Amino acid sequence: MLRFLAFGILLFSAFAASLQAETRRQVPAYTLDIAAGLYFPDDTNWANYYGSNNLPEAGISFAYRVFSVLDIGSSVSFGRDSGSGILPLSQLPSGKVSYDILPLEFYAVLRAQFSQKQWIVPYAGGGYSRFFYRQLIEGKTYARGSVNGMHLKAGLQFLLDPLDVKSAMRIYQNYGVINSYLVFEGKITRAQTHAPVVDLGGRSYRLGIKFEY
Amino acid sequence: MKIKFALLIVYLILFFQMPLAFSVQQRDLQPNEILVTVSDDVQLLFDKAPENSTLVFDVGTYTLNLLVNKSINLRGISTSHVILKGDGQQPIFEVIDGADVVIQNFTLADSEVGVRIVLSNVTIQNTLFLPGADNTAIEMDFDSNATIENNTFDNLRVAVEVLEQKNVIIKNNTFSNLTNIDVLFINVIYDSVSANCFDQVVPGYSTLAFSEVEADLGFVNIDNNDFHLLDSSVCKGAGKDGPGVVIDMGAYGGAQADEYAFPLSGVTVVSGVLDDSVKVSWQKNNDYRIDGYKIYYAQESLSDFGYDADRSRLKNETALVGDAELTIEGLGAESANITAPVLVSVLPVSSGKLAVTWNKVSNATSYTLYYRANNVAETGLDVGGVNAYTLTGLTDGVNYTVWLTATNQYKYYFQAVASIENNGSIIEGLFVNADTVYARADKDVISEVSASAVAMPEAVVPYPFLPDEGCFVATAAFGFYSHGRVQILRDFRDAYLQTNELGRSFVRWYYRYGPFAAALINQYEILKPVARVLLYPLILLAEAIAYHLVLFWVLFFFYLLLLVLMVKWVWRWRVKGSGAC
Repeated sequence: MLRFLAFGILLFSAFAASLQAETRRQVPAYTLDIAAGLYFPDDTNWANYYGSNNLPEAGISFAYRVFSVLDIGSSVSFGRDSGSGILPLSQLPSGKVSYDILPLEFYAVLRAQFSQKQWIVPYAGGGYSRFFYRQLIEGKTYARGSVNGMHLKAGLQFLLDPLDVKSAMRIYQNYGVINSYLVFEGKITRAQTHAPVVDLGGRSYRLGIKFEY
Repeated sequence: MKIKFALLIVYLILFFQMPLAFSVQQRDLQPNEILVTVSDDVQLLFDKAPENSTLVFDVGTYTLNLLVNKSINLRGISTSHVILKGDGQQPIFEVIDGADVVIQNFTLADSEVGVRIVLSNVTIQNTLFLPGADNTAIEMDFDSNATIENNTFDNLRVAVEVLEQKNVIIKNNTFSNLTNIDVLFINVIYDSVSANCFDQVVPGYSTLAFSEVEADLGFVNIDNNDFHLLDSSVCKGAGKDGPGVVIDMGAYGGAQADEYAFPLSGVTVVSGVLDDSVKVSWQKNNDYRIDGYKIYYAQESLSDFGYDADRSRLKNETALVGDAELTIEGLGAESANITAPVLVSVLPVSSGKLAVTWNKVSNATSYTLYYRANNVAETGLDVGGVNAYTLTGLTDGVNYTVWLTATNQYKYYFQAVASIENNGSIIEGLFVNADTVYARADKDVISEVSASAVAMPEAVVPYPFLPDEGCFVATAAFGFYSHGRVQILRDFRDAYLQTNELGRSFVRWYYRYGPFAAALINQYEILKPVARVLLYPLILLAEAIAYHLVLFWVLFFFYLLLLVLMVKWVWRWRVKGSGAC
């Protein structure tokens, strides 16, 4: 593990040094995206048990740029909601329940980017989701599992570099970040358990920041 | 603007002073006095207390090792009601660092050393020392001064041990039940001891002027730690407090003695001759100062009023009597009429619990809640004067019928106190004993029953209903992941399998192949009852291990027997088969 870490640091140092030496590259190869927002489950009864129809979530994505218009990547998010449980026979809300979600996604995204200086980049894509979940009653795990699903997403990237060119250059020199974007993204997820059939899908809206390396 | 600001300051000052003023009024404390209760961290309060203030200890029993390193007064509300016990080998009070300290009105018990004084000046007054037969009451170290007056020393080895003689005054004390009279005083010079009561002669001190020596010093009840003096006591009026002023010796004499009578014991209440009367009796207190006795009574607990209750709230008090019994008449023989309470709701709240609420009705002092499962005898619970109650220990999935009645209970609470008149003011005993209760169920008035309601307790499950990744087969077999039987297996997995390597290996194996079996069961409905039949022995075994160990062993031997029979049967079948060939 230590060897692997040392190798990684060495590789990163060499990569950063080479970037510092050369002029600013035009085509990024990787993107890192950190975002947070709200997840709106499709379940219309959600608010009855959890107080509101959404739960906060945050996630991180890493993607490889195959072409300037195509990214393939993976993301992982985490969301938690707390509310009351249910008495199944009387259908009354009762007890304290927590619900955790952790969708792991693999996706491809098409980007309408025609220039590195393009201020706004729309994108759309989708892919496979493995939707992990966990339910706790009074802090004790009651059920956990995961289910296959899919997702579609679309968003807009707003280039931040022109707002402060000097900072953008410094970030590039120090960290190798070629472009920085403010990202607003909407996503639809479909994931369904089989026995019993429960739709875990929903919509999410996130605001985040994307770095292109 | 300035006026508003000034008003705000005045308001803030009043706001913060109000609790202080209130507490002063409640406990008759002076502004520089700080109340200490048994729930307080006494050392912390002491550390925060300003120099020369007074810590007033509330009634109660404390376990204490207090390091006293500044000038302060330490006072108990009442000598016999504030009991300080030692914390291991450490003294109860350890006075150090040149402090001027007054210790008064305590009972110091069960400690190797009661008070240790190092480089300090201490006055100890009106304190009852009961450290234990092998222990020391007061130990004085280097360069210390002490005035030890009007204390009671009983059942101990050393009363005062001095390492280096300085100014020590020992007067107006009583010494009784001493383990070794030769070491009662260690290194205490002859003329330090004057005007004390001893129950035997102290070698070297026997010719002291004003000292009394009598085998029985005349305490009220030494077995009960009541060291007040009898009228016949030789220590009564034998102490000196200045020229021509005589006082009692011991912890209850002198100007600083508390005036509370010792708590009365043996209070009993029985029915009187008349239907609405009761006869209250108690053990007489032979303290010579007592003028009479008084009874307080009410239909609610008097203990809730606290020992120093505002007794003006208690309308029911008798006149002072001299005897040790009293008949009280007119105790409401006819209870008020009472209507049936209205049951508002009976709702399941979680596993085995039903929440019941109802409307209170006037004149009800308590409610009796009844519940019954199908074909089972009803259970009645006296739940007091509340209007909501949660029934527990019920069985999930079973319908319970619930109803209630209201009761006007014929129940009275009594406190008996002794009263002492001193210089025109009456001092009554404290409410420190539990109430004596008198109740007559035959005089209770019970309402009609309320309407009944039916509800079924059940376990809470999270929303939405998601399958657990474990117990695939059981979930498929029982059709619902939160089914009680599946939950038993899940609990068994978490408690017994996940806690050891063998169990974890099984869980890993099961997680690998379980989903295939579950899918098969889901696909073919006919397999579900078969799977259930096969799972039931496992569920029973899991439940037995988890909850009923005896049942586990019964099942274990049953299954073992079954296995043996099966093996035997297979063996016979094979033998028969081979014979046929």
